[in-house]
Amino acid sequence: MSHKILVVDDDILVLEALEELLTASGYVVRVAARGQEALEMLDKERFDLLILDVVMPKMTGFDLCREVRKRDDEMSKVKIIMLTAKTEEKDTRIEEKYGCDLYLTKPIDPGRLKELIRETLEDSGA
Amino acid sequence: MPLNTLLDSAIHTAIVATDFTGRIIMFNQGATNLFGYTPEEAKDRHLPELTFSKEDQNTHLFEHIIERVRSQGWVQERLLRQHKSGRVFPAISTITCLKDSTGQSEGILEITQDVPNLFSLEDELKSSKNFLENILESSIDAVVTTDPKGYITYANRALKELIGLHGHQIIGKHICTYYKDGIDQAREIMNKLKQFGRIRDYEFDMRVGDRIIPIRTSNTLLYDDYGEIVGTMGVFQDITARKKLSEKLSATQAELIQAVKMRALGDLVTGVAHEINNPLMASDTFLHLLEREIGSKLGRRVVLLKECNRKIENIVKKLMEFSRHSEFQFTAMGVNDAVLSVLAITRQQLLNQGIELELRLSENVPRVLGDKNQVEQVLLNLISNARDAMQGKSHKVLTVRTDLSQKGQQVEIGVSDTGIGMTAEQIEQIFNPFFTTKDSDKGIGLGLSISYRIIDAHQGKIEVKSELNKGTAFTVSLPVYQAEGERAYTNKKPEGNNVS
Repeated sequence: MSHKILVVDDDILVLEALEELLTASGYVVRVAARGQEALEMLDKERFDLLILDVVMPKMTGFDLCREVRKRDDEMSKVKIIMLTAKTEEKDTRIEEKYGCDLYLTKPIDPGRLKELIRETLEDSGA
Repeated sequence: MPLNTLLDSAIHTAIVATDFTGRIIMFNQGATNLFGYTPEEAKDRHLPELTFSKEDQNTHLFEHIIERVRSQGWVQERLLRQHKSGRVFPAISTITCLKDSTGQSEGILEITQDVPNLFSLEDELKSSKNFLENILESSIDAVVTTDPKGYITYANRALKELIGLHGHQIIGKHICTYYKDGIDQAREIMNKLKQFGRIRDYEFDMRVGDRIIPIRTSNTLLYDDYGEIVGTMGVFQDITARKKLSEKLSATQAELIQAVKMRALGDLVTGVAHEINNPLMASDTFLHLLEREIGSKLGRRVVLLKECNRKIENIVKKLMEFSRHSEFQFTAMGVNDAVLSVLAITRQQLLNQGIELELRLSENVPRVLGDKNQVEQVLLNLISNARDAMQGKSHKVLTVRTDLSQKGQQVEIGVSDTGIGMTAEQIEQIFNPFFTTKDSDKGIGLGLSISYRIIDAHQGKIEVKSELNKGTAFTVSLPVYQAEGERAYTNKKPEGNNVS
C-alpha cells in the first residue's frame, strides 16, 4: 500500500511542486495551506508522514508540530519533516527541540528530498 | 577797602604769602578755614611745616617748588596738604612770585583751593582702568587690539600664552604675522569688518612657529569720539580641542549611520532571501519533474534552467552570509596565523599574476578575540579585492601588515595594494551589498559588506583609504584579547541581528 503524505505550506507553488513530485514517486499526497486546515485533516485521515513549512501565518510549522505531538491518538507519532526557507537557524538539535524527525532547508535537491523521505518512512517501519 | 579785608573775604580760597624760606608773612581767613590755623598762629611759621604732608616735607617739595617759581614765575600743582588736625586732603595751588615795588622778588604768594573730589575721581578712574585691565588679563580668550593698519597695540595674557611670546615681542608686530594665510587673511577680516562693523564666530587658522592653531574669532572696529576708525579689537578662542572633539563626533556619527544601515540591510536581505527560497524550491522541483518527461533536445534547456537556479541559490546563500545570524565561535586567536593561513591558499595565485608580496607581520602583536574562520574570510576578501584591483597594472605590490595600534588596545591588520584605487564616491559605497567595481563575472559585490558585518560582530573596525590610480589600503582593527573577556564574548550573537 502506498504511503500517505500530508504537505503543509502557505506557498501554493511549493505545495503544487511537492504534490507532483511525490505523486510521481508513487505516494498518496494531500496538501494544506494552513496549519489549522492540516489539523482538521488529521482528525479525519491517517498519514504516514507530514512535511511542514515553518514560516506560515497564524500557526507556524513548529506550532503545528507541537500540536500533532500533543494528540492522544496514533497520529501523535507520525513522522514529521520540517522544510524551511529560513536558513539562519543552524542549531543541530532542532529536531529534538521541536519534536520533528528531520529539519531541512529550502531549496533542496528534489532527488535528495525523495531519498530522505524514503529513509524516514523506512525508519518508521511503516 | 583795605587789602586784608579783601583777602579775608575769599573764605574758600587760602591766600598765603611767605618769603623764599617759607616763613609766613600773610595768612588770610580762607587759609584759616582750609588749614585750621589762625593768622596769629601761622605768622612767622614755616609754611611747609604747617601745611605740607610729612612725606612732602621730607622730600623738600616746597624748596623744589620755590626753585621752579623763581625760574618760571609761577607753578600750579596738585598737592596733598595737611590740616592742623593732621587730616590730609588734596588741593590745588597756584604759586607765584611776590615782587616789591622795585620789581625785586621777595617771596611767594600761594593761592590754594581744596578739591575734595578731584583725587577720588582720579582714583576711581585709575581703579576702574585697573579693573578693566584685570578683566582683560584674566580672560581665558585672547584679546588683541590693533591700529587701523593692523599693527598690534595691545595683547592680553591669554594671547601671549597662545603665541608663547612676551608682551613686548608682540606689541608693534603686524597681526598677520600670526595668521596662517598671512596678509590675505588679515585683509579678509578687515574687509568683513568694514562691511559689517563686526564679525562673529569667524574661524581661521593661526600660525605660531610650526604650530597651526584653529581659532574662532569675534572682531569689532574701534572708533574715536569723532567716529574715526582708530583700530580693531579681536577676541581669539583656541578651538583645537573643540575641533578634535567635533571631528571625532562626526566620525562616530558616520560609523553609527553605517552600522545602522548595514543592520537594516541585513534585515532586509534576510527577508528577501527567505522569500526567494520558496519559489526557488518549487522551480527546482518542477524542473526535476520536467527533466524526466521531455526529450533530450529540450533537456539541455532544463539543465541550463537548473544552473540558473543554482546561481540564484548561491546569491541567496551569500546574502544570508552577509546577514548571518549564526553564532560566532570566539576564541583567542593570533592574527599573524590567520594572515599566514590565508596566504597559504592565495600565495600561488598571487605569484601567477605577477604580484609581489610584501609581508610585514609584527612579531609582538597580542592575540585578539575572534572567530578564526570569519577573520580569515575577511582577509581572503581583502586580498582577492587587492589582487583584482591590480590586474592590468605593471607595478603590483600587495602589502599585508600586522601591528599593535598606537594606544595598544587594538590589533591592526593592513592589506594594501598598488591597484587602480577608488574615487571618494566609490569609497562611500563599498560596504553596501551588491556594490562592486568589478566585472560581473568577478563577484556580486557582497565581499566587503560581509566583511564589514563580520568585523562589526567582533566589535572591530574596518577602514579604507584609497587614491585613484595609486592604490587602496584597508585596515582591520580588532580589540586585543583580554583573558577575562573570553567568557563574555563566547557564543555572543552579534548585536542587531534580531530578525526572526
